[in-house]
Amino acid sequence: MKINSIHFRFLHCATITILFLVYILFVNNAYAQNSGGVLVVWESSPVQKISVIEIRRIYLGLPSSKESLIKKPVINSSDLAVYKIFLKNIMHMTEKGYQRKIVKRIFRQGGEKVKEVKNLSELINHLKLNINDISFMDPETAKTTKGIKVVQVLW
Amino acid sequence: MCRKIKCCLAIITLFIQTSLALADTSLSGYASIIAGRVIDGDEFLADYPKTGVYDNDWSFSPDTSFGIQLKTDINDDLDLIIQLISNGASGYDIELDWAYISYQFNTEFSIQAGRKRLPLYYYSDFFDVGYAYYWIRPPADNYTWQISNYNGLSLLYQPELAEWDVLLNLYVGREDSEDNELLSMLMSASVDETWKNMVGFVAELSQDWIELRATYMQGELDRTVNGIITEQNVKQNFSGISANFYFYNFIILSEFNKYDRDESDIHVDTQMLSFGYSINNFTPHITHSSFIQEENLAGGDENHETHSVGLRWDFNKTTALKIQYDKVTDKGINIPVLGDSKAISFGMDLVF
Repeated sequence: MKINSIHFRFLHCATITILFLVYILFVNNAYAQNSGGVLVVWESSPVQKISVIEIRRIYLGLPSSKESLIKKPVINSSDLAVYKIFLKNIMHMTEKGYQRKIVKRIFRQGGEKVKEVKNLSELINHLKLNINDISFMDPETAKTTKGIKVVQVLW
Repeated sequence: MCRKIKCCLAIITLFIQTSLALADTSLSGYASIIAGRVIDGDEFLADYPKTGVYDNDWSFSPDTSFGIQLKTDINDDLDLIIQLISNGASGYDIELDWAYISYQFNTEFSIQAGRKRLPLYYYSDFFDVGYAYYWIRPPADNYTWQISNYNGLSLLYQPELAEWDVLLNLYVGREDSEDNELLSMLMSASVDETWKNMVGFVAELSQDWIELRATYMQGELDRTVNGIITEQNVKQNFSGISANFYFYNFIILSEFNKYDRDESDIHVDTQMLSFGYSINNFTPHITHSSFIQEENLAGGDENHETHSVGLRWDFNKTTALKIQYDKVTDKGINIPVLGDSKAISFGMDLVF
């Protein structure tokens, strides 16, 4: 009887652990994959679709090509989950690694800080006043935000 | 010194006037406010190039520094960059660390003309930007050189190679240092030093978790001690490699350099190995660095090593608080630097 009880508890714990791992590996990851991200500009912006490599370079503080018509990148940290996926999927680095690169770029090569906005209305205002600047957000927010144009799907 | 300050002020005024007349100017800056003292021994040479020395009294001077960088876009392809720095070790005089124009040929290739930092070591370019590394200062045994800047030309090529960031830099230039701070202190005499016909190359390859760097420089040296020429057109060369790794929370930083001046029979090896571990916003670290000069016929045997233990706390995204303990062992018999010492230092680094 006692052995059966221990056996049952073990099975119970194992089942919970497996379900948790499945959630972490698939469900959580699927959410991250499905949540999506898009490159956005103000609706009257002339900016066209560019390569992901160029987006990465621009966010590293490197110059953009003249054909892209992009002036400056803006980090949208109003949605931290999207920002983290942007760093992972587009920049291929962690937030600490990104900060490290940017600080070095500024003081070694005369680079500029990449502007960061922490709320959506500030981002919208900025893009409205700087139509050649780019940023990123999740597709649902882009769809429901007036004045915002999606240039391309990032992930 | 007064002439230097006047010159800097004239440049600042000119730059501000130019900046106001032009549209796009950005301002960045950094500050390190550090206090420290020797707790065992007499003196600790924390900053060789600027001769920042701690003694038995608490002092803010050796490692405290402030810097401001102004960048003006003259047009789409041409930028003007100036970086002014004030160090406690140099009596808080304002010095022009960087002043150059940069022309962008395309997205990957640019040329710079003017005054820049001499990129010998991994941290040479941003030695004073304490926020960019976890120590109070880069390991002093490695950063022992008397010349930190050059005036000349620099070509920069920054392509992408799959997911690797690449930086290739070729530079030429010279630097004249009147009454050089480090040499004048070590020789107890007025020393003028010129590094000329410098040609150097830096190659960097990096990803999020790894940074690799190789560097080489060759040139000639002139030296005058108390007005008497002691070295002229003496060839010298410097080479070095660095490899940094960031595995999850583990950080490994390393640097190995070699300096040769054959005519003077001077051969120096410097090295550094450091381990850190990130726990949220805290990074404890431990480091060993050394400077070993092969003993020569003139008796040159400079030889010292430092063991350091420290902690960095990223207080917020732009500010870090640090504390560090350093133990220096000075093994030089004919050329001791400042003897054995143990020192403690702490402070704050920030960028804006």
